[in-house]
Amino acid sequence: MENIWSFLLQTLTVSIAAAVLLLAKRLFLDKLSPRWQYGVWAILAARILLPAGLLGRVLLPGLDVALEAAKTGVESRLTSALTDPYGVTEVSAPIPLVRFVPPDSVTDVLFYLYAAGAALTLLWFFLSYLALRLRVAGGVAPSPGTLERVHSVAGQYGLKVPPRIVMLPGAESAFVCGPLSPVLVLPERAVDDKVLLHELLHLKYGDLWAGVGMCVLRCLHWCNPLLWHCWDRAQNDSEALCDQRVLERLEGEERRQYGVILLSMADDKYARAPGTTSMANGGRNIKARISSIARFKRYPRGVGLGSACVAAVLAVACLAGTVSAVELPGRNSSGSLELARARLNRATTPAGALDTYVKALLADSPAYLIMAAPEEALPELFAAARAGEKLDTPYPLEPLGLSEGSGAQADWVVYNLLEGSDGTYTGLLVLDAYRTWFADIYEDGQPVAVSQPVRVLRQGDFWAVEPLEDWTAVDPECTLASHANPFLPALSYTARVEDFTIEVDYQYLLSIDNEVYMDSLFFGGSYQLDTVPRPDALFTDYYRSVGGRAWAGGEEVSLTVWYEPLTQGEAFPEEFGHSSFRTPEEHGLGGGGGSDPRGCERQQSPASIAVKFQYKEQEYTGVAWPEEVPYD
Amino acid sequence: MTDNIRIRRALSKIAWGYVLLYLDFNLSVNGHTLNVLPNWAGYLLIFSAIMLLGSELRSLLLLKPFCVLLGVVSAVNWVWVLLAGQKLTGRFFLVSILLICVGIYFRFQMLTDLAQLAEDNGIRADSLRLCRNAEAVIQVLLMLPLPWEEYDALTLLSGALLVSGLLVCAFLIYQLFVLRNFFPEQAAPQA
Repeated sequence: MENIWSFLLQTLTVSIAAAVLLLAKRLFLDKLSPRWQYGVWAILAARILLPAGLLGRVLLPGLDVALEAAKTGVESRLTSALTDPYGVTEVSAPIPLVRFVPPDSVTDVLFYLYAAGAALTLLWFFLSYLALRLRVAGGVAPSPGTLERVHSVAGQYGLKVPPRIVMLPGAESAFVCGPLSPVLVLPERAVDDKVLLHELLHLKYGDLWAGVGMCVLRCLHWCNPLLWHCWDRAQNDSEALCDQRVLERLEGEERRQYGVILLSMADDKYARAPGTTSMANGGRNIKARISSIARFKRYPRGVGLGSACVAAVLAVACLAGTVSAVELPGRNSSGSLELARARLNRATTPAGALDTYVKALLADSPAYLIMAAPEEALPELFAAARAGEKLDTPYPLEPLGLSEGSGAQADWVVYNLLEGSDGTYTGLLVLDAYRTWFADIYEDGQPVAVSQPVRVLRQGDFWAVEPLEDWTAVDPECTLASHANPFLPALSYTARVEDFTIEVDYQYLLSIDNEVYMDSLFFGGSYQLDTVPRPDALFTDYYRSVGGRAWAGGEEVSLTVWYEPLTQGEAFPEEFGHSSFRTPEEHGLGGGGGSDPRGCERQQSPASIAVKFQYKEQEYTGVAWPEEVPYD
Repeated sequence: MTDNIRIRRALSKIAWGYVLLYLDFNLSVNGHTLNVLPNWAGYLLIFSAIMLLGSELRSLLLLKPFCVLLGVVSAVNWVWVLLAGQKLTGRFFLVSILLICVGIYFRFQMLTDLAQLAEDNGIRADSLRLCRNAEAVIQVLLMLPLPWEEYDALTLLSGALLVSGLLVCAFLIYQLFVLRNFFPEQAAPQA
């Protein structure tokens, strides 16, 4: 938790889990034993220790959208040092991670207050424990008779006697203190064997450690009253379980006497300290425990596996939550919740970023562009979307003579997308308007496509598109830009093998299947271009075309070159397939493609190309590396 | 009515109730889906069986509120599917989870009590308990948030679990009818 918003996300998520557990406990109050009632709190403890939103799973769909909307609403007016108003709130750790920078806003101050509160609560618990240990250190050794009784009770029920037993003047009831070196503290008045049994059972089952854990968890969410209530309930459930363990070891009249002892403690003062357990834990709690004792015989038997299954379902639900895709914003969205949806739907793949970028520009929608723009551009886009304004970038199809209001659509394809050494991709984005209704008004010699060099960069978990130049019309002779062609560039790869230079021009087109079937009431259905962004898309379609030239020494030669595209780090192939070309050959005149709805195998141009050729009956092999992309 | 006849009648109701719970037969007309074997009818039958068996099995009476809750939710979902095409509770993740918990416990304890009833009458109930355990475990396993569709092994496992679940349900219903048949239809003639 690095800022107040991530703390809010975490504490709200934990609170929802707590509410579910409280409801489940209420439903099964008279049906499942104290063992189950206490055990389910482990789910809450685990939930607190798991960061909210882990692996994109949520407990309450919509909570993240509401929180993001609130955050942007508040933070866009502030200059917080700890919070990025347009970033997505994430919980990287379940504990406060404080960066020591001066606070610049009220939310920064609130987070520091929260972190200080967590530290102070922990300190307060620790000091309370120290004070108790000091009081216990002043205790006196019990009489030999009392010691003998403690040993006798422990021996009778096969329990361990704590290393130290003291009698503390002023103690109202017996209790155990100190998880590391436990001390059994007895009051001055005589203590019943059943009370001793209760405390020794706490020791046996490690309840002191559970108590310490609860104190730490209280500190993490010290300002959340629901969680304080839950841990109070959990500590009472711990006592109720211990009561049950005592009752399981007692018979007949002794059980009734145990209830009477418990009743007699109802008016005792409740002064719990961390790292201790005490049978007397306050009047209201004792009433609840007596009700639980009254149900002792009535809990259904033989439902152990059933109750474990119920707990398992609760654990899976509270810890793993559910996958809930956040709805996409509308193209003209301007409301806080809608814009929060845009921010939560930022592109997660290069293909998704390109698709969203293109559709945002064609729809002239700031809300769409928020999903694919670099972080630096977000404040301006948010302001534009809120004000109901349009994008201040030129309409992409303008070079074709189409105006923004024409309603023209265009399919997109990216040429030669290649990953650079810095992890960003560059490529040539091409919009082909021929396939849409624009084809009806097409005239010979008119360009049908526009292109723009782009960079696709990774920002955290998301991808964004950055234009490198303006849109320009593609050569009018290129009438089908969505397929390989000689009018648009290829990437040039060069291999130097001994005296030979082999240049491979590799044109690689990637796109996604953007067609959707639209039902029509009167005219039947038809396939149309999808205008809704797909920020998680993978490239599903590819075309490739290869050409090249070869030189032996300084002289150009004609060779048959076999080639195999390689990904980053891929080993040189042991065998070559049938892919070859005869130099000199221009790219774009042949080639092929394919599609895979689950995403095609190669999501970018080859990192290098393995080549093989024969010259004067001797075989040569080598690797061709790409030349620097000209628009980079 | 003798005890045996009452027990037989209750067991009949529970067995037919389980048939209604496990079998769905949907009719679709004009985009509306009607389940002609509604779950709420199953819970209604089981509720009347609980009332009949309450004197023998006191812990069964604890299930009355759960039976009412599950019956009402089933009825609401039945109407919602008919009108809107989907279950109402399916839209609320946490409510669904709580209902799944109640459902698992309800069936588990009911079968535990019926097994106890069988054993009290000298009838072996190991198979019934086995079905009860298998049903609960399969349901929990299928709820695990695993990438069931991404890996062939997991897809195969989920298929195997679903088939096993169906077999367990069928065998469970068969066991319930077998148990019912241990109790005679008519009172034994006086000696």
